[in-house]
Amino acid sequence: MTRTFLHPSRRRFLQGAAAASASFASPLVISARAAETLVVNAYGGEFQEIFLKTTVAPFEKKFGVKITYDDAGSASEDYAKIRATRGAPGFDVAAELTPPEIILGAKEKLLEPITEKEVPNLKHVWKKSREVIPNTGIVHTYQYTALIWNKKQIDKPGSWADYWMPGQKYGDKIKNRVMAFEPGNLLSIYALIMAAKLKGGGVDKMDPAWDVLKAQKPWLGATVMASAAAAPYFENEQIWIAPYWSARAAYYEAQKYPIGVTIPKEGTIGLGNCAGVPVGASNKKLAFEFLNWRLDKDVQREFHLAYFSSPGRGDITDWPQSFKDVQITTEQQMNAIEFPDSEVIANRRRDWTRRWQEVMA
Amino acid sequence: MIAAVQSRPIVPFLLVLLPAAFLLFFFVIPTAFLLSASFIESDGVIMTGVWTTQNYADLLSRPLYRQAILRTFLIGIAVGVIVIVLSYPLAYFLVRTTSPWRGFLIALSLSPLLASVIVRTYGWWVILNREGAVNTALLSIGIIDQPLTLLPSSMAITIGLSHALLPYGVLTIMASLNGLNPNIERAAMSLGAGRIRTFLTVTLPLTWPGIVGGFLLAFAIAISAYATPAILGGPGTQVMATLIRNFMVQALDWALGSAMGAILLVSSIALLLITSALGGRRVG
Amino acid sequence: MRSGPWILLKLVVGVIYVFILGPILITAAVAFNESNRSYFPPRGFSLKWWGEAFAPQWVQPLMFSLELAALTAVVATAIGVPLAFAFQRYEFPGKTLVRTITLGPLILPTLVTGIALLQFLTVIGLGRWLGYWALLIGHVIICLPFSVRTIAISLQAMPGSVENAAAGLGAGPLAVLRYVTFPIIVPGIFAGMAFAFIHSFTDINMSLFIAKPGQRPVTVAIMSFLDFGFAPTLAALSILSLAIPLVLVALLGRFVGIGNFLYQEQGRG
Repeated sequence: MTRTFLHPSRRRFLQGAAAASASFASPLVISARAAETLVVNAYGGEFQEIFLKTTVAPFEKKFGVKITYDDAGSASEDYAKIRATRGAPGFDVAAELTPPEIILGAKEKLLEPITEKEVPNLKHVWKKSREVIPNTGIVHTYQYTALIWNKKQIDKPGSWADYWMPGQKYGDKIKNRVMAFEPGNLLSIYALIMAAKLKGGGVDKMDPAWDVLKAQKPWLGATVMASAAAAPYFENEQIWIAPYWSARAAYYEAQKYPIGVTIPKEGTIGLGNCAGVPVGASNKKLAFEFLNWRLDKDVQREFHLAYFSSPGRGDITDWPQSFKDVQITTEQQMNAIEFPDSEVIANRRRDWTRRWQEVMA
Repeated sequence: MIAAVQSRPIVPFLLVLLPAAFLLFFFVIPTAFLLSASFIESDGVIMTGVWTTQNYADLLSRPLYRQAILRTFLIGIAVGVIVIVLSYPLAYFLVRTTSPWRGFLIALSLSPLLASVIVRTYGWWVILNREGAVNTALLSIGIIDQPLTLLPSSMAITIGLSHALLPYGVLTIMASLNGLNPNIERAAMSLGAGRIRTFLTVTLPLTWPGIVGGFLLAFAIAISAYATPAILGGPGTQVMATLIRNFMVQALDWALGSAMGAILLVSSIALLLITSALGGRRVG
Repeated sequence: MRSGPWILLKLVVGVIYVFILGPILITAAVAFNESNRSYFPPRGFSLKWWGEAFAPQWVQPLMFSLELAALTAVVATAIGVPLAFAFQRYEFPGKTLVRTITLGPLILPTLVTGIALLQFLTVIGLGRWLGYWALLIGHVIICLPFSVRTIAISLQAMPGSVENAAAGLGAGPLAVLRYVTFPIIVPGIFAGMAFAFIHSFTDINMSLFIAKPGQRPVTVAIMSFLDFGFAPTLAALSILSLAIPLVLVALLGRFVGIGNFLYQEQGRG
């Protein structure tokens, strides 16, 4: 067969497009032998834009290396890959993991132990960081579980009860306007812990949470898994109230989504965003260098200002006041945020997932 | 129907050797290895290396999982039936029509096959959601006065999967219709049977293997499908594929995940073998 | 064919086509939105998102998908033809077992097959050196059932009597194979390749897990882009992804006679 299978004019278009693309030096293209390369795995979406600009591109420039950015997968999906390949998943840095994966990495010996020897900037991180995870990762970002609400449609929620028992405060109009997250997402777990607390329980006593969930079920409008998947629902105002990560929430608020972000009066739970190096990474030295860079003072400042998240190190003081008002920037604030025992969560997650599925079925 | 070109027994062995070795090495052994994790004790996080059947007991004793297993197979059967019911008329038309557009129409009937899952499920989401086409139509006709929640549901999953797998039914039944000797139909009609009678008593029975084949293919794909049930279904309408994915890459609970995978594999193969034996046609 | 039943059939077929095309046309309509939002019915009218779909960030994965799918099709067919022959023409011990194994990749979620393959390759020490090949092998495995099935069907449709007649007329077995069997099943082979191609091209779940950055099929690129929300660009791209295999099938139909396989004239017998 001598005929091409593409229509001639389309083929020419594609050839032109390919030629045009080659003329741009895109950081996303694997470069040739010249520079050292590092494969970094993290999130896509708006996170990617900010991360590339504040952290990745400056790193490439400073160290004269090329980074291949892998935006595939949530934290747990990344770890599944790490596990399947016994620590050689194809990326050198798992830049966005959560405590459960770091703990698994320690138990299964699939993530490298990291000390101040490998990552000197560890000496500047919050003391809490050492408690939140074992030494097979670093905590570079902090967020908390906030409540977001649609400013145009309802009043500001003051309590976690306004989310879990929405009918009490808002009445019938909130029906189908409440969002839940699947327990694969830590948002769901943390919100459930707060539900248990409303009824006098907590991480160690989660039974009350299931009744609360059951009562909330008729009010739910949508249930999603990925945090990113929730954004369109807020934007097109299908959902009016939901728990959400403080950084993303503040980012969307700044993008003029019709939402407000708040911490209910009962307080909230903090999340440490972590990073680790798989034991089979091909360029570990550079990987540790990258983690160290992530904890660099200026890099931290730039990234967190752009992403509306809280820093991983406690020695940055020149934040704008508006930032200080809502983020965790002092030792005092850090001590006031609760971090649940990630070990406990890791151990109970199977049961909790099952209970959740049983209630929702 | 088997015409042995050779009668030496070595021939089939040689034919099958390399492909079977390929399958063995890259599919059977890896899958067996992974699914063997289902027999290892696990606390949901770490496997201890102790042999146990607790994982299976866990899955089969809980109504949540039993319902998911049942739902998976019911949806599979429903999809299989809908596919052959819809694809037979279409296949018959495509085979018998003399329209010059026949090639184009055939390609068009394959479009759900070629469309990515995003195209299909987004389209169905638009049609079935509370403000979508179906509800709007039903409301305006007056059959209902409140929009129905059609999504997420097992019904939505069934519709979405039937849509996606229709081409398989069409192609299988077309192939079967093509294999028909047209003289048989002509003979029946020349003996006085009308078109419909001919169809029911001659064509349909003779194309029965194609129907069974189409059903089995649609069923097999439907029970392992992930994306459509994930998007058109919800947390209350789990199927085995969604549960398996939850276990494997969200909860990272490979013990339960592989146990569910093993249950899916074994029960599906059993069902398929039984059905094809009943249908009088060999599997595959 | 103006008879009553035929007209009724045409009506039913028409409704079925509406069912088939409805969701697809809806998504296509979304790609015409003026703003970067996926409204349906579309608001405004713009072709720019279709142009966006040709951006280099999409062309590269698209090319990768096409190449991978083509390779998968060839390999799956090469493996599938002897299997199909064995299934259709012979009886042998273990036949049911081999048939069942061939069916396995169809029944198991592709994610599981992918994890199993990746884990196994790692355990036997081949993991690090088989990035692209792991993806190819995985695709071949999940496409193989389709190749085998399609070719087996075409073999079944061809009565062995033709081969017997040729042999009876004095042709040796190799000649029969070359001049009688293969020409008739060639459309079936190409149909099998087309199926394998399509199944590889549209695979998401296995590719999501196995693919390495920089070597991503277009389906994975689309899923990643979904993080930004379901933009009209995605709708345009998805429809274009549909169009390319469709064009392929149509062209195969015209030039290789895959159509003959599908709508053979009833002249035999």
